This record gives sequence, C-alpha cells and structure tokens, in this order.
Amino acid sequence: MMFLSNSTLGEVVKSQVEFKLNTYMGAVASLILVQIIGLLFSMNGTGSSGTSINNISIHVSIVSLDIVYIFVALWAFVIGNMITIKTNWHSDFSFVGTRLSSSLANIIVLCMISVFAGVTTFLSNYVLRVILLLFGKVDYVKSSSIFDDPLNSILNIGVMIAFILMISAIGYFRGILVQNNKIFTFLLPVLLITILVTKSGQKLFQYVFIGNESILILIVKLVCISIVFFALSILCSNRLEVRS
Amino acid sequence: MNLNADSTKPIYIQIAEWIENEIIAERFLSDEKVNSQYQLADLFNINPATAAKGLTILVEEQILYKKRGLGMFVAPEGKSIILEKRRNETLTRMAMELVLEARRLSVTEDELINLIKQENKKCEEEQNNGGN
Amino acid sequence: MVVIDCQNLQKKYKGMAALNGITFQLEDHKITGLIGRNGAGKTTLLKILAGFIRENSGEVRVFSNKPFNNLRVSANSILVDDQMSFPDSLTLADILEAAPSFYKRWDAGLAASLFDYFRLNPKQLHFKLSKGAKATFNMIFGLATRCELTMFDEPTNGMDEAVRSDFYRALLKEYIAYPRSILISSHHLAEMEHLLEDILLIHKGKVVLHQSLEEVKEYAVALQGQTDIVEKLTAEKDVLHIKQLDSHRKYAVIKKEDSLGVEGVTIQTVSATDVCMFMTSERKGGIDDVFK
Repeated sequence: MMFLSNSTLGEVVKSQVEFKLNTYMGAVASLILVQIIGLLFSMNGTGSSGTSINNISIHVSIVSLDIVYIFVALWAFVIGNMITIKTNWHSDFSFVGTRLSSSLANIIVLCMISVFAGVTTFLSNYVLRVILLLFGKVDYVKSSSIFDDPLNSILNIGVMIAFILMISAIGYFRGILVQNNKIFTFLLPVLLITILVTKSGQKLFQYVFIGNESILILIVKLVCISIVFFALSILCSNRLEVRS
Repeated sequence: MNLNADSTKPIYIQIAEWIENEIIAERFLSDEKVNSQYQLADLFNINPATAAKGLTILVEEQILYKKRGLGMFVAPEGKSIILEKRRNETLTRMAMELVLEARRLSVTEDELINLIKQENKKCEEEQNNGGN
Repeated sequence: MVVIDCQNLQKKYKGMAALNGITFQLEDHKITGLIGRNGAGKTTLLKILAGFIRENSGEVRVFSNKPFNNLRVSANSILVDDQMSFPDSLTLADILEAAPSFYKRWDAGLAASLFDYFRLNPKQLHFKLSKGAKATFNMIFGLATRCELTMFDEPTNGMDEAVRSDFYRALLKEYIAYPRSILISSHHLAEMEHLLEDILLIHKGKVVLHQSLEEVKEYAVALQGQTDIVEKLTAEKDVLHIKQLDSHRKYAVIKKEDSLGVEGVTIQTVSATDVCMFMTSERKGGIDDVFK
C-alpha cells in the first residue's frame, strides 16, 4: 500500500513563497543599506544657486533622490539575478516543486520585494527632508508632501514599484538565460548596447519612457514589460536541468 | 547473536537455524509465537524479506505454522521434526565424508562396513561393561 | 504495485550515451541496491527518476507519472546526494523547520533525534559543513521526509566508518517502522548487502542483472583446482572470471549449475560483490590481463 501525498500547485507555490521570503530576508534588508548610502550621496545636492538681498543671503539647493533611484534600480537587478543562481534554483528541488512552481514563487517574491522597495524608496524622500533639517544648515525645505496631493503621491509610489519590478524582471530573465547557457553573460550586454545604439531601439525607449500622457499609462507599460520578461523566464526555465 | 555474513550458508538459512536452536533450547515452546520477520530483521540487522524467507522454510518443513494476522507459531511436533532432521543431516554428512576418505585410502566397501560393525561392537561392549 | 517503470530509457551527454536502453520495473516497498561501476549511469538514472533531468528517449514512469516537472513525483520522492543544496543564508535548523510545509509526512521527531545523535550544530550553514557532516545531514533529511520513493546516491561518501554503520542501521529501522521504496546506489555492495532485498546491476547504461540478493549470491560458483581439470570443466561454459593461481592450479568462476563435483577441484561460493564485479569487467582476468 503506497501513501502518496497530493499537493496542488497553489499549496506548493505558497510554501515556496514563504520559504523564499525567509531565505532572502537578508537581501531585502540590504535594501535599507543601499538607500542610506544613496541618501548620503544625495545630500550634497545636484544643483544650487545663491543670491544676496541686503544683508540676507539666500542659498537654494536642489536636492534630488536620483542617486537613490539609481542605487535601488541596481539593487533590484541584482536581486532578480540572485534568485536564479544555482544554489537557490537547486534548493527548490531539495524540497517539493516543479520548474513552474519555482518560477511562479520567484515572481511572486519579486513582486512583494518590489512593493516593499518602492514604498521605502518613496518614503526615503521624507527621511532626506528630516536629515536636512536636523543636520544641514537648512532653514526651510520645500517639497510636495503626500498630504498636498495624495493621488499624485500614490501614482508616484506606483511608478516606483512598477519600475523596480521591471528592473528585477530583467535581472531575473538575465539570470535564467545564463543558467541555460553561460554564453549569455557576454551576449546580453552586447545586445543591450546594440539596441541602445540603433535608431529603432532608441525610438522604442522613447515610446516607453518618454512622452507618456499620464503616469498611469507609464505604470501600465512598465508592468506589461515585466510580465513579458517573466513569461519569457518561465518558458526558458521550464527545461532547465537540476544538479547536472 | 550475530550472523556470519561471510559464511557459505545463506543468511535466511542461518535465520532458520537460529529459530530451530531456540526451539531445541525450549526458549520457544510449542504453540508459542516466534519472532516476526520485522523483529528478526531488527534483531539481526537484515532485510525483512530475508528474515521472511527463513520463516517460510520452517513453515514448509512444518516446524512452524501460520495464524492469519497473528504471526508464526511453533508446531506441536516442531521440536521433534528438527531433532529428526538434524540427526539425518549430520549422519548423512559424516557418512559421506567417511566414504570419500575411504575411497582416497582405497578401502573397499566391505572393509568399510566391517570397520563400522567393529566400532559398533566396541561401543556395545563398553556400554555393557559400564553397566556391570 | 509498480513504483518505477523504465522502458528502453536513453540519455546522452554531449554525444556520449550515459544510459543506453535501461529497462526495469521496481516493485513498491523494497530496498534495492543500484550497483555499477563509475560511469555506469547510476547517477544519471537516479536524476531522471527524481525529475531533475530529462531523458532523451524511452519511457520512464514514477508512480505512473513522467517525473520531469511532475508535482506528484516531486512531493513523494527524494534524491539524497552530495550535490543536494540549500540556500546559503539558511542554518540547518532553518532548513529542518521549512521542510514540513513541503513534505506532508515529515517526521520532525526523527530529524531532531538523529540531529542530536550525530552532534550536528543547528546554527551551522549547510554550505559550510564538512563533507562528512553534509552527507550526514542530507541523509537525515532524506530519512525524515518519509517519501514513498527515497533514493540515495552514494550516501556514505565522506562518512566515517561509525557513521556509515549507524546510517545503515537507521535506514533499516526506519524502513521497518515505515516501509517505503528505497533505491540506494553504492560502490560498496558488501557494506550494505545485509539491508538489500534486490540488486539492480547496471553497466555501460544497461541493466545487467535485476534479481534478489539471495539469487545473486547463488548466481555463480568458483572452481579451484588443477589447471587441466578446471579447464575441462569450464570448456564450453560461460566463464565470468579466470585466474591462474600458481603453476598448476587455476581459479574459474562460472554460472552456477548442479553436478560439478569432481575430485581435484573444490567448489566455492562467490560473494554478491564478486558476482557484480565479474559481470561488469571488460576482461575475464581482470587487471592481471593488462600485465600479461
């Protein structure tokens, strides 16, 4: 008499997501560090001007979080890529799972991490303000707050999340391709540069990122790109061999 | 109790002989339950199927009998069957060795039989003397 | 009931055939030894059965399912080998804690007591374990899953003598308490043959022998005696192995048959290990042939 346990795909994916969140806890925590470093770089400001009226001198600094965004984007790429490395991919098969369940769990985890990263990155804006007030020679900080324009702020968070998700999806796809064949390690950067150099490539970039009528459309575009990369990753990983 | 893994005797035969020894020593009495294949496997560190094979031999020789769902029990005539069997086996083996040795030394069959008769007579005389 | 069914299974690596038409069936709740020399295809076979890699041709069924990408096979089987990996960030305790949500029959009590017995450190990271400790941990993991099909690929590699015999004992005890189908590969048949019910001997990607251990032990006999007599007896017979002992005596192994008793020749049993070795050797005389 054999006792076969039956697990549904949903159950297995759920267990895998919980397991992976546990596993990548350290990686998620590293985000905070990345953001802090980004903030430190940001404090000098990207542009400044000064005027003097009578004896009062006004110094205006434009401080932006661009560096934080770039750092977080790099981080998202690394995380997406890290999930696919051999030990992580193979450990799924020390437990219960198929290639499909692993991919789905990975994607869900990346979505969750992106939401976390998006929200915290948005909030780092406020952290920067507080830091400037406390430690900088600043008397007044002007920037829009979530209470001034709640809808816009939510959309901004949305863009942030969608952007991070897209970058992580690209990182994930890259990782899966490299797992399939090491040659992609060199091939992909070459391909990327080729696309950036060509006219049609540049047009594509313009279409996606610039000239969007509304932020909402940008979010939809970013999510669609993420879905495309994730779908390609599922296809490419479905034949991957384990421990071979 | 350890089995001899290097012995020419298969493990399941050694298991059967161990149970036979236990029966002769009356550690298992008639109609008493003997170890199950799983207990034997645990005891001797062997595969349960091997242990089962040893038990099956004893069932075939009617030394043990099976009660469905309860296990294996010593047959009432089990001990006497074992004794009978061993008597036969031991004597047959010794006779074979005797014959082989006799042939090697070119002793004829008649001479051999005479030799056995002589030995038997000696034993009888000794017994009689001892009785007096 | 049939747990594993392979029909003419083939697998190639870079043009080299690792499996070259494997055909066999495995009944449930038996401990089977997968025996073969290095490169015979043992590991490849186990990986296909576990669904890790995909066959090139032929049919493979585990619990009546194709194992590659099958959730039912994954949930009810485990392959323990030295390539078994766990995330680098998890401690051994974390790994054991995560297991029950995947393996529904996970035996946490057994895992904990074996863990203590072998003095493993719960705070240790898996990838930092020594070879022996890793093998021990993987073995504990494999036993505790209580998977219906439990497969071990060279499980005792790196274990010391004491741990080896403890492992085999633990395996037997577990099997007696919770019978399951166990497939275990090893170079060292002698050290585990007491556990086995069946032997599956493969060579060059093909099944050579699939019989009960007792049958394998009685598969062949060795004749030892004067060269001319041994040669006469073994003429026209399938000689598995032959060796010149000294100037006038020869040792030959042939398939077992009755009525071989001849004066001047002693008949000896051949151990299961030797049967497997002789049946998979290229030359009848073994290494000695090379030096002739």
